[in-house]
Amino acid sequence: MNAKFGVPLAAAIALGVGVLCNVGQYRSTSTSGSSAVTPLAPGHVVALERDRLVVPPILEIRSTAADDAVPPPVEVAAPDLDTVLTLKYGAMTVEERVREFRRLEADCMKSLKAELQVRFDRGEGQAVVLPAGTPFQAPAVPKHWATSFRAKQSADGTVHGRYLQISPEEVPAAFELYEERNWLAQKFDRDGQQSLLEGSYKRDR
Amino acid sequence: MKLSSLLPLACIALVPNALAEIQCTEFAGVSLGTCMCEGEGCEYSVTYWPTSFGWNCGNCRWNYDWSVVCPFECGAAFGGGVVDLECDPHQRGGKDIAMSCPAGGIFGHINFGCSYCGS
Repeated sequence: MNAKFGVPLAAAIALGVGVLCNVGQYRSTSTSGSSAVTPLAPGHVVALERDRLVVPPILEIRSTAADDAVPPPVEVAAPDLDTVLTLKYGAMTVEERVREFRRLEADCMKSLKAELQVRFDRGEGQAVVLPAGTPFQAPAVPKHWATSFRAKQSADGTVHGRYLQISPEEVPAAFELYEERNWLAQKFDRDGQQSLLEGSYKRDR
Repeated sequence: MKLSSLLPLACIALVPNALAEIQCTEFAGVSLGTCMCEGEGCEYSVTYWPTSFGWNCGNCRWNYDWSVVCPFECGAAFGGGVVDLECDPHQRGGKDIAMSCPAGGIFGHINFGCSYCGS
């Protein structure tokens, strides 16, 4: 949590700020009774975690106590993923989102590979022996499962190896990145913005 | 039953894109030849992961990564990246990724494919 802005909800209540926050809108009622409803601008998010979302105050909120008073940030307990990601990426430019998409994808693969390596090191996997030149075809798995094959070739060309097939759910860190990357890609599509796939992606089939 | 009452059902059957997110079916395989260094075999690692996304069967994507480590002075080779395949109705898309042997030549391929809507 960003320590600079992360004020716990209890502290906000103690300061006498009544708050109601829902998706896409921020409503604040000051102790003086004046209130304002302002669209929640993506750029207003200053701290973001999966289980907690901190929304800074909207500067236009009026206050009779002091015109320049700024209410403390507000925490929203357990926001849904769509809310979090909408706020996280809403303020980014197209180029920034493309970079983020690629970073997520690369990190996702890195996380998956790390988990696979641990499992191979533990000796997990199905053994395979392939005569020289024989193709390896892993058994079909449910959609989005990853397949990994480790092997060593003998002097006579025979390949001795093992393979593993795991679901993204078995790799929580990778799965979170995967979800976020998919959300970003689909959000792009639905917003009708630039494709994240550099021209190979066709919309509206 | 009147014909007019069947038309909506026919439309649903013919225009599935309007109703649900339809995905491609992915398939992949690895073909290995020989990669030797001074009479010793090399070690391989291949990982591939279908990560299609989008709605209306928008994209068929594979993330992949491979490496070969050979003994002695032959060294190692590695590669990885993303493959996007066309996923048009009733067509199968495919692409081969060649894996190079540090001792020289191509020793294997990863073949990626997808077909539309499970067809």
